[in-house]
Amino acid sequence: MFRNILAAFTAIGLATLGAGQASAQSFDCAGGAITIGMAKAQTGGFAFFDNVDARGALIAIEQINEKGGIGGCPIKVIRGDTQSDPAKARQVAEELIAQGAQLLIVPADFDIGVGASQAAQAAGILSFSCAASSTAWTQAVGPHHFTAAITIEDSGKAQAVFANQKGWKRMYVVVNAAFNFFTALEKTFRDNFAGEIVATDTVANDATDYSANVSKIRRLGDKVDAVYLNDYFPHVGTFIRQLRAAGVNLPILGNSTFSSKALPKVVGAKALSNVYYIAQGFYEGRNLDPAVADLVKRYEKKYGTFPENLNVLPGYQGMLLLADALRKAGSVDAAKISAALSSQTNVALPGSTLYRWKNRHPVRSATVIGFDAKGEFVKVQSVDPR
Amino acid sequence: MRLGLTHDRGPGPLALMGTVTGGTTIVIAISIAVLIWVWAAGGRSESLLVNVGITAIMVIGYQVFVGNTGIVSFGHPAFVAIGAYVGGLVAVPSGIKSAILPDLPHWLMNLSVGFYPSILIGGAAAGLAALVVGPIVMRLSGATAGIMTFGLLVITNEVIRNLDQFTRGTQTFFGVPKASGLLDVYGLLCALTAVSLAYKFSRFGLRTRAARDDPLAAETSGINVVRTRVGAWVLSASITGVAGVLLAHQLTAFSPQSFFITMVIPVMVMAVLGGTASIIGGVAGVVVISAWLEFMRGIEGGSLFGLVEIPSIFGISQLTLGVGLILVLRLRPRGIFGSTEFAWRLSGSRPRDRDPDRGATQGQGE
Repeated sequence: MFRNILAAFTAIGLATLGAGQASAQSFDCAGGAITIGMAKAQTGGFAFFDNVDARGALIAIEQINEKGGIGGCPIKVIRGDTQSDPAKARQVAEELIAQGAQLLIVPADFDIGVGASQAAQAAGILSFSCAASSTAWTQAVGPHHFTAAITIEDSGKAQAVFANQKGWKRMYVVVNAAFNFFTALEKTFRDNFAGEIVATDTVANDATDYSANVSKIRRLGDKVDAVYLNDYFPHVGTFIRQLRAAGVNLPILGNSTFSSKALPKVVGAKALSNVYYIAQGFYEGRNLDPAVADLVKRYEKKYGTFPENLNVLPGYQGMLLLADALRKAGSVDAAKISAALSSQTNVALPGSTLYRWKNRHPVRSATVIGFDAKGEFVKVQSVDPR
Repeated sequence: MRLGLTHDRGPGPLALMGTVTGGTTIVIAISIAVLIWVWAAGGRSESLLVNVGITAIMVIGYQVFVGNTGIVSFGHPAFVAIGAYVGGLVAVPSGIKSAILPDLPHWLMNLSVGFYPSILIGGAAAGLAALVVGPIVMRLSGATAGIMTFGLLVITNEVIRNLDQFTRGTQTFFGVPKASGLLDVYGLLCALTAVSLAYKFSRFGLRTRAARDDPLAAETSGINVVRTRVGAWVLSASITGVAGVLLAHQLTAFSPQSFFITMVIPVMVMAVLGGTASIIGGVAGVVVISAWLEFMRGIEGGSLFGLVEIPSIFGISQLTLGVGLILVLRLRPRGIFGSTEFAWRLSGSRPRDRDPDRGATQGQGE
């Protein structure tokens, strides 16, 4: 009897909640659709990255529209090619705004995208970069710009948390200093790593032979617990091969740029045992979060290829966050969406969690990815970098 | 008075004035057309045309050195970088500066100058840098000098990457106010065109061009080849530095990788297409290539001025540009304008039709 009453109350409660949601769902759909301008690189050097998070976002939009849009208001996308050129980014953004864009999705890189976000800020509309990880960008633009990928600082902290959990005490650091991403990542790692940095090697961006570094590591023998390999694929593939060929089987800790389906092919399954890297989420292997599996399936169907790089997940997740904020804001007003975004806490996204927003960049969970005996990508664990 | 093409100026100050004002008149006319266009379109293509104007200043700066000395330079992005970083650094408001560059010396931290002073400072800094290295680089000739300028670019880039205290290293430098307006950029373009023309047809420019065509003969005639080249180098660097400051005030955020070899390629192509030895040719190169790229961008985007829907073909602008360049240079190997400039002449006076760049007489009717 008591159970029945409880069930009845729960049902009433849920119904009220549902009604509440229904009223919040009314979206100010002036113009018949939400027009999102996508000012991203479709050509040029940055297109390899920018295109992938754009596609991730487009798939999210496709799913949202299949379910009837945001509060019944469908999303319409207009696109412009920034040609990977910072000067062109502003121009393309202005053109999209003139064509009626009500908010802008901008490039995944601060340098390349800042002009676009400033054009949006000047026009009083919101700009959003799904896959940018710089915390300086929002500072440079103002209150209507958000970046949504895990910050470099949080990635570095997550690396340190994982290394500390693993009990590694002595780390050998290898860093490619040509990019701020790597130097900034290493700095946060260093600041949060409990153990000792045995040595730091800087490798050139165009290096193909790491025998000097490898023999130094080999000579140190058991004075090193793990190698912090802070470079990107394909360099890391070459490095790991050379290190393992020299008989060094130390654990290797890397970053999100390790994410490439070609890595196991280049390095081989055996060499990848004890290789870990930290990323925003997991999409590369089997046993995926169902929503991520669906994302990968749709991506393969729509674009004829497995997602080319890690930006697919930030693109997809970013668009989901934005859609949620739009739903809460009930309009495309920049101040209202900004407030709605900033109030998001503990959002469970497919593949990772957003804890909260801090100065318009996210604080979110990281994922450790490793490899199984067959060289398949596997999710090792989630890390809370806080 | 009539406006015509000429290879060189006649004798006397009046002829010099005619040559300087000739090319400048054309650039002023283009600038007025640009301003009217943007005003009529309600500010629609403003960013595009500001970018084109800045590129035009870069091309003119490039022409001053390459056109007058005949030495190919790959190093000019270094001067754009110096202009952008120095001009940007002095223009960032103090409040932002303390957040992004906490380790600056006190006096620099509190320094925050306006738009035009920052242009002067940035241009002067680039000129000064050129003056320091000039006497070394300018001893070399031909390909060696070209490679040396590339070396200079690499060094400048590395210095910027490692001078964290002032440049934020490899991180993005930001906080420069957005101040490059259409009127500022095109006003400076006109002024710098006049300066470049005045230099080209001054005695200093004449000496540099003489040393370009026959260094041995020039030296025998008492011309200090290295010194004349350094003059062109420093002026060229200053103009390029001004373009850098303007770029900083347009982009507002940039990093060392923004100023590398890829930046000089389009500038080179524009200068070569228009005629490396001609200033007005450089401007023509900018106009032609910018217009073409913009036209092709519409096609790549999948619509022709919103009228016709066509499938998007990415990369076609670069492809057609390459083909166009080959065709133009097949038909006019020395670029559209060769070495000619526009000049005002009194009606009836005969133009100077000697082409100093060919050393042969060539009929150039009015």
